[in-house]
Amino acid sequence: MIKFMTRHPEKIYIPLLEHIELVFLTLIISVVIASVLTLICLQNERLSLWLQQLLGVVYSIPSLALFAILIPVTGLGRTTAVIALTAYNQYLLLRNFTTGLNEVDPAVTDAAKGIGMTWLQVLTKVQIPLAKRALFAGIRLAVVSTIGIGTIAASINAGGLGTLLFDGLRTMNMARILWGSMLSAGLAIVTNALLKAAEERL
Amino acid sequence: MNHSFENEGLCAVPAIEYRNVYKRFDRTDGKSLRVRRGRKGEDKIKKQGENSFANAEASAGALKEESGFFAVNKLSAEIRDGELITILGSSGCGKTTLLKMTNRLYEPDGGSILLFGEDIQKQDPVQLRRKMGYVIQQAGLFPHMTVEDNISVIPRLLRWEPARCRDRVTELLALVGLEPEQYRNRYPSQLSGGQQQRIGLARALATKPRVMLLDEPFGAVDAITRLNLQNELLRIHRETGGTFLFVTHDIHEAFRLGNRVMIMNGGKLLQMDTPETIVRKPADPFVETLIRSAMDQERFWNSSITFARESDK
Repeated sequence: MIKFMTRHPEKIYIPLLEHIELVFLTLIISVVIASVLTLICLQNERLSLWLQQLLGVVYSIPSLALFAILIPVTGLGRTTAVIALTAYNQYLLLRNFTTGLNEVDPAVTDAAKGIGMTWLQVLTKVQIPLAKRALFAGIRLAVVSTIGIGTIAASINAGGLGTLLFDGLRTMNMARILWGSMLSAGLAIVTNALLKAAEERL
Repeated sequence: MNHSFENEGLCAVPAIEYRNVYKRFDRTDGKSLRVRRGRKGEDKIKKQGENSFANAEASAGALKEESGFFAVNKLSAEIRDGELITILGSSGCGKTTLLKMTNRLYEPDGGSILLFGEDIQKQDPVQLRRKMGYVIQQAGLFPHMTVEDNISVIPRLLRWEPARCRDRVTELLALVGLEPEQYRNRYPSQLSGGQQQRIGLARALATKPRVMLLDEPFGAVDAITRLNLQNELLRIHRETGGTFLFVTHDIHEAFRLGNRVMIMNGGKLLQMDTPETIVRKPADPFVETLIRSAMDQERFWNSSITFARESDK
């Protein structure tokens, strides 16, 4: 294993960097879309329920199947992976965002509205600050799940740590398998721990 | 005077005028009930707690009736500038609904409400609410802000100078009977219920509104604190000279504070008069029952005291 690392360091750090890039890209797009959806859902209860059910269905599709469905539309590669991962994240993010914001004590939001805040001020000055932990927890869950599902994205040529894993499996190269699994698991665990620590300091 | 309201002086037009106002809650109209749908819908209603009592009551009532019911039913009343009006009624009588229509947290289904002669439907809701103070039962303070930030939240949104905000906070804390330097940097969780209520009052008074709406502000504090707060409220009303609308279900509180009392039941205004006149000439059987029940209570206290004195001998 050590020999593999010293001889082919680029075969380890390039997939790792690719993986982080994939997660980061997915995260940014997911949060933007989820925020917009959350704003819409806060206005319309019925739509919110409907959308969450729809996203729940999407979330339950196995990742390999979702990638396969998307290939005819967007082809092989990273774009497809980002689209699929973003779709998965919407369920986690939207659920955490809406429940977090709705969980804020109605007496507080009523008072905020009653003393003359606009809905945007109620949202930014009261609801978001009070729900920031729940919001952040949603983001953490989404990141960790993206790191995990992201390994499968290698199967559609999107790169990342999955490449190392799949190559290792195909050639029965133990060093690659171990590096691939250790790094993807380690990345998920470390990221989770870091984000959790950050969450507690909020 | 330091705390007097802007544009003070007697107005010929009433401060608030209700003209045939009605509001109907429909069982299918979730929006106006503010009932959140969904699997946890029932829990959400309960979670709204005492403050939104009327909502829960209203929705409970709405479920009973097929085609909805009138929370406020063709109500007309005039409130003069500078009055302290108490609105008395049991839960679900429409008193909170009436108050919430006054600052457009609810929209009436018919009739009109005039604020100093101007129809509030024609005004921007946010601007309207900034002209009125609003105090609710659990105070509804912002837990992530200090007392100072809580009180100055609207002044800051209106972009007052920091120094002016600070001075106003000092002035208001003194007005509600709290030592400014001791309390301004505390968080709401570090205050007792009565103190939180005082801060809620201070926050509502921040921009010197001419009209104050108080929705059972002292409902959740103990009897002794409540008595103190009532005295403070009377003093504040005297010092500021604004028009106060005070919702309560406590008959003693209503008669003690109000220079006129509005008695409501089933969405209708039964009587609106000075406490003395209501006691002397109740206009309605319901009002009569209400007063008799209060007197019975009084008699219980009096007889207990006599009994205690006799047994002392």
